[in-house]
Amino acid sequence: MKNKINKFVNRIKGHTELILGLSLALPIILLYLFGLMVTPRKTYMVISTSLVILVFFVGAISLDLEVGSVGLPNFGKVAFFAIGAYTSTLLYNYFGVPFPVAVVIALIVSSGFGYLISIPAVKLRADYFAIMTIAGGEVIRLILQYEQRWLWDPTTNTQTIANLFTARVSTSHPFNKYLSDFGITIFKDLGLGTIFIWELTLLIVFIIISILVYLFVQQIRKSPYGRTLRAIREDDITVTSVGKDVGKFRWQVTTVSAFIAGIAGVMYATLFNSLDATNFTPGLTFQLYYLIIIGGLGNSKGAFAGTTLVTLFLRGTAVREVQNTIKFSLDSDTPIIGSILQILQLELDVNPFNLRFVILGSMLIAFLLFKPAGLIPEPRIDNEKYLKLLTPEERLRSDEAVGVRQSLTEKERIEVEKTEESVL
Amino acid sequence: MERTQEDVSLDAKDIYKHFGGVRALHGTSLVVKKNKIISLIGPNGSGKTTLFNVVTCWLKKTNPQEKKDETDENQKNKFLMWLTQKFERKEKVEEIDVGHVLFEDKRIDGLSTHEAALTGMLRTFQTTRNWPKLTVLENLLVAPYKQTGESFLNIFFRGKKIKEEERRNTLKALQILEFLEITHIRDQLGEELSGGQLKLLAIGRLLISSPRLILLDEPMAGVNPTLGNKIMDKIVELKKDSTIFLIEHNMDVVFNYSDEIFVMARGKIIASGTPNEIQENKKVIEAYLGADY
Repeated sequence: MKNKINKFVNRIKGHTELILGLSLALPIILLYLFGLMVTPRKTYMVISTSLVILVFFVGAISLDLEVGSVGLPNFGKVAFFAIGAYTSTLLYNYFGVPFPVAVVIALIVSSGFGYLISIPAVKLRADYFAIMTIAGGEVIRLILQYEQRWLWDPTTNTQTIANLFTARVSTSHPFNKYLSDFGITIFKDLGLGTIFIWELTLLIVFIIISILVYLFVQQIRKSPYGRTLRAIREDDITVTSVGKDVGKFRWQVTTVSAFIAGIAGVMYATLFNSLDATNFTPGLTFQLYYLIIIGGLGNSKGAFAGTTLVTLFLRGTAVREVQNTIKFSLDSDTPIIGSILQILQLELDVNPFNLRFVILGSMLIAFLLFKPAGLIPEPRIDNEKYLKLLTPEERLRSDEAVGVRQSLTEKERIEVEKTEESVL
Repeated sequence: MERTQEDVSLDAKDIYKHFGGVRALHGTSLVVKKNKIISLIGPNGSGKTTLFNVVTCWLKKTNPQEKKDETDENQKNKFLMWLTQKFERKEKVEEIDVGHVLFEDKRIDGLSTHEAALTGMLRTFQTTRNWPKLTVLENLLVAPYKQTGESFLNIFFRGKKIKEEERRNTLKALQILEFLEITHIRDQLGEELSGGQLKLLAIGRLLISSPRLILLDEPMAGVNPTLGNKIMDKIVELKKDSTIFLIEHNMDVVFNYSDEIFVMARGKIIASGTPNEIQENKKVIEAYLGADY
């Protein structure tokens, strides 16, 4: 019996990551599926969830490039979201710039700001860098809150700008049709709800953008450049001592990740009918942080896993039917604490939606305590990709040398050294 | 003058470094000759590491002229003097440039730290530093100067050249591992290494850039004597390609292996010469053991 248990434990040990991932993912997926079953607008829910996942995935990659790869804790990421979103929307709405051009300008402005912030910031230590970026992010948000008054129309007092691009696209010709109008009626027949063509187009565009961004960052990560970035994250003094300009690497990464955050910002903006500075509070930055911490720092797959899980959870809890079904009320009828609640005149509904940040927070703490590497940890680097470059003979020679020393136990090694000494 | 000599690697003259009131270096001068093992010894706090830091541009040397002004009684009037200078548009007194650091006839004081490293002069640190989450092979591969794959645009457009360069660097790294006899730890992470292996790795990291001057800050500290001698044997082998300048407290090593020894005390070089000369120098004994000895 004992043997069997031991065997079982040993078998589990090899798959702790998988088990942990499943134990976390299963309840969340079940919750989401439950939400999907009870909501009447099933296809809408799936599409909007996917869109949000993709937006936050791009944002998380941008943050992960800074935090995970170089070790610059940027707490002002939301500012670049906001710059991307506002620049593209304002240019389109008020200056009649074609949307693609507006996006390009927005990305340039966003990376420009990234560069500007990096000039003083890269010289700071990580903790001061965090403080500076959080302050910078807030400054930009407060400027954008009254951007019309600041920038060109002192008389207005509006804080909200309409997102004309999304509005126009969703009402213009081929995009305002349903998928069923084109003969694909399977979703409608199954009673899953209707799909707009523009929703589908947006989804496809988002998927393409995410894949491109993913490949871009992957290219950086696996190049010698990415290797030096990792070295800087570990110890920047040694990197300087072998003749590398650490500041240069830092500003380049800050700029590139601001560029990617700008893309995420533009994507984020298209999800809304109107933009408001309250969409860009520091909370968004922190949301990105728990995406990458839960998912795993330093690799894009982790960012995707984290984003998917957290977004599924948030979306699942947001369904009204879920809120009404999975709940219990705390009021004066509750045993034991009922009288206290009566005195306080409190009536609490406990459901996943109200508890979502409590649950996410506990998840975050649990991860930081027990699994700081995250759901999908940064892959352990092996030398395979370098050794692959060598000819077989060259490789064999080195591999043999590795093998010889590894096959000796410590005791044998000491003996060998002793005999060597006695010969001398 | 000395600087015209071809066999001089490093020439530091009149180096001052003051930390507030502490005079870490006070007019230090030394000349390091090429392809030799030069040792720098001295009691704790005599300014050896500070000298290394100034020479490798980790610290800026102080101008003793400014310091004199501050200790002057007129210090209070300094601001007034500056004001009058400004308004009367007096010719600013030209700052006298005291001291210099020459590496192979090129002036390097004033360069930024990484530029100084790029001149072909590399150093290790007293406390061994490494990149814990990188493998030993990668630890070496990060180090070579100015790799093509380290420029942002190149990683998207020059894949072929990067691959070639990576191949060359990998081969060189493996050679260095073989030379240092640490091939068996090739696949381990930096954090898994022992102290002695880290010291060897730190030396290997310098060698991959083939530096002409290697500054080693206590390569033997915390290493058992057997391995220490092994490290020293390797260092002796390096002598044919580069100059080695080292700080060391292990006197056996210093006197056995050095070609020339500099002795520092209170921020100054008090003696220099061959091991035999140093051993008999009274000043050195004084500095180490006190005047009454």
